[in-house]
Amino acid sequence: MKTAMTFIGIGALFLIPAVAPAYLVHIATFIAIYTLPVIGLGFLTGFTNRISLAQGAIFGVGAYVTALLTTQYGWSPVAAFLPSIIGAVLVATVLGAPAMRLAGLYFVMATIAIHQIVWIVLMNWIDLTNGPQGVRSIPPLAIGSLKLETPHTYYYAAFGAALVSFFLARRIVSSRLGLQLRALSEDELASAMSGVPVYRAKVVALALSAAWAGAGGFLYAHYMRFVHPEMFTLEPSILFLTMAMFGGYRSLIGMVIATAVLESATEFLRPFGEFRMIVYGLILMLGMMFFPKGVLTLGPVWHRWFGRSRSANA
Amino acid sequence: MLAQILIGGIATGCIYAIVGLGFTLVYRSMRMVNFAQGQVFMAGTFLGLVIANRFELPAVPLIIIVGAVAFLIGLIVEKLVFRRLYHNHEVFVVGSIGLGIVLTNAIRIMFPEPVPFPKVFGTGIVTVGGAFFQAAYLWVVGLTVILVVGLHALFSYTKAGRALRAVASDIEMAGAVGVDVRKAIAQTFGLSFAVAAIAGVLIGPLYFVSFDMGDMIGLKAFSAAVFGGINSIPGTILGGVIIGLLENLAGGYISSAYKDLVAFIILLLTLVVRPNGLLGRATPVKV
Amino acid sequence: MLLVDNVSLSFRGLRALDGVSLSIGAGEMVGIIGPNGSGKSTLFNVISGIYRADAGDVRLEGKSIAGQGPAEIVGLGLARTFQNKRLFGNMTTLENVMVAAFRNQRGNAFGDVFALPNSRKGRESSEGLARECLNLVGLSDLAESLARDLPFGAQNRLEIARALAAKPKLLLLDEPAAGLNPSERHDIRSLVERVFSSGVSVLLVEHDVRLVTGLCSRVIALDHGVKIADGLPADVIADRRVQEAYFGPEDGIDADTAA
Repeated sequence: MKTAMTFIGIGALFLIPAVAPAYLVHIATFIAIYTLPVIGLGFLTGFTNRISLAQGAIFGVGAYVTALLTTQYGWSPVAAFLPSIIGAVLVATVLGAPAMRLAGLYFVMATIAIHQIVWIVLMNWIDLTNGPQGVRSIPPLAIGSLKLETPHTYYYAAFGAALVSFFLARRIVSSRLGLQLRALSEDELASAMSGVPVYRAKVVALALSAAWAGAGGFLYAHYMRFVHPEMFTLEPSILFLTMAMFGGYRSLIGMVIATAVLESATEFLRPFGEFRMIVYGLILMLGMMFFPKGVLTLGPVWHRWFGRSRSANA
Repeated sequence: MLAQILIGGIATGCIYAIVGLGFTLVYRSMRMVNFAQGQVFMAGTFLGLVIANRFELPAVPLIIIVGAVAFLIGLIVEKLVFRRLYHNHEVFVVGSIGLGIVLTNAIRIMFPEPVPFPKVFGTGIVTVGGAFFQAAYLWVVGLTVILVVGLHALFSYTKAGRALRAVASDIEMAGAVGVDVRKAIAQTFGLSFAVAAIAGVLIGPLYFVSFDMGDMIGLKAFSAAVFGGINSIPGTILGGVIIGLLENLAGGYISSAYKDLVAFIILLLTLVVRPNGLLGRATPVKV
Repeated sequence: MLLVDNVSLSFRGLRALDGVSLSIGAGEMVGIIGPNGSGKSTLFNVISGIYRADAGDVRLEGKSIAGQGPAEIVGLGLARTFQNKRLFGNMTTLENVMVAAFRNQRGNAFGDVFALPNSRKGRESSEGLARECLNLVGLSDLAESLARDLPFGAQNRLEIARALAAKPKLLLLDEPAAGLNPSERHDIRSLVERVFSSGVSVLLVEHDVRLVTGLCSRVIALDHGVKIADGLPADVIADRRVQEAYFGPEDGIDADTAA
């Protein structure tokens, strides 16, 4: 029954471009793209109990790598996919691995430092990144001769990527690595005593979260077709973190739903101009004040439906 | 040239130090970081702007009034907002960031463009051995010193101040010996707001003020607090001044583009190498 | 098998362990007794790599392990349980044990995720090992329950099963019968006997003096971080210093009432 519902659900999502207006398809594409960095955060926080505010910057690294490779060196977008991920993982690991020994608030602080460092470099290393001007005319993703240039066509790429990454994440969670990481997040000491290589596992979790962020950044760059540093301030970091939090870090489905809800909410608030950001801030504030355990704890029925989530944010 | 860089650095450093104090005060009592601190600083500047434009006050009364108003606002915000965020770090972080966003955009609606701040420190220029700088810088440094001395006196010699110190040192013990912990926490927040707002008034006359000035300064003040020791008041002051100096020196002699990096590289290095900062004491980290 | 050589450890001026030495040979089951605060758990923490001793050495099968971390020491053949049970609450009973079983699994993460044959075989054998351990402790029918939903006695047994899955040569049991009622105690006692007879050397810390004397060929007594006795169970119980440690300096308490 659950499998049938899953197929129907996926099928329905698949049909969105056929029935929905361009504006909605546009939002849906963003949602699909954003699930990647959010799931990435789920790896980091769900597995190591550490919150990161650097995900936006890592996302940006992925975007910039592909932007530069395709515009300045003539790489084809598909070829730039892997380097985007590798670049993101490298930056995150080099800057973040030493920080993995930190816990709690100190780790958050370190991720803020990392984010700012990456952002300042993106902004100021004009020779490499073109600085505040950003990189324009990024070529579109193409499958054969079909260029994915409109929301309708790009949606399929983004949605496909989101699906693949979702199921891949699921595989990882139930694999040996996933169990070890979950044990690590439950009780670090006991997991060490059970043979889990604690520090190495934490760095792997970091690398995974960066890989997902980098892949998301790649998709973002080829959808927007231009990137500039202002796209990767702390704002997207906070957005991703909030989506992950509202979804409950251990529930993949929860995070996807939270991404959809929050992204739709911020999009629909656009007509309100400046008030939009105030409402956004209020959502964050009030959400934390009144739903500190994540919004999904409101709906026990949803939990049982989508399995795997046991208690999302315990 | 060097003298200018140094004075400018010390003045900026004082601003980081004072805003950083806001972080430190809250962290010492609550072991939490209020990520809206930078925006409170920015709001304080605008508060000062509005009052100064309305009433044409000289510097010192302006600072006192802004401080007092900010203190009260801090009490109120603690009661309405922060009190509900104490569950755990993540909640507090995201919640306070939300508050910061609300503040930034509320001010943005009222003041979409950068505006000049009344020159409450006068427009005098001071010459020291061939270097010129605004008298305002001296005001900043001088008032910072007075503020720090005042805080020290508050914590050492007043009953309320000692209560705050007790709560900062050990909440349970403080409660056990009869301190009204709730009130002390509220007052700590109030104090952190007051301090940030005062810093806002100090920096106002030096530059134009705009709704986004709190972001970077808040983050750098945060670095200052961590660098100096986030549970140490003298540490934070020291951290702020050092970062201000290093930043200006880097900007003057290496590259003005990357001077912002200084604060964050220091932050990252501090956390990785010596998380307690220069003068901080080790707080048992519950791993 | 294990040699603890003159180990000392202080916490902020408080001497938790003071020149403690003991040895346990292969195929021995040795008990450690002592009143609360005597340093039993601290000793375990030092041996298992959680704490680093200020002075002295710990040698496992002749090689020094002092200063190494828990994960390395587990790799060398030593496993332990925790007195206040550190289970992975949100994981199932089986998953708890599998984490420890993974230690011996070949293959790499890539193979795991994409279910390559090598990894699949490895996973099967880990799962087999885990189920065997669950069987040994009698938890097979609770394999799919969440660890935090288990009744108290079952949790104790899960701790032991998890430690066993690491295939240790020496097992440190930290108060495995803590908080159990007499019938559960009896079960734990037979369980420990079963484990011992499967060839694992055991170092057992227990409050229940009767359990210790019933199971162990040798008993060591600690008090305030110092070893005060080391020998046959009956001798150690009757030792005046041991009695004083438990009951205070009074005269005229004989061995029968102590046990």
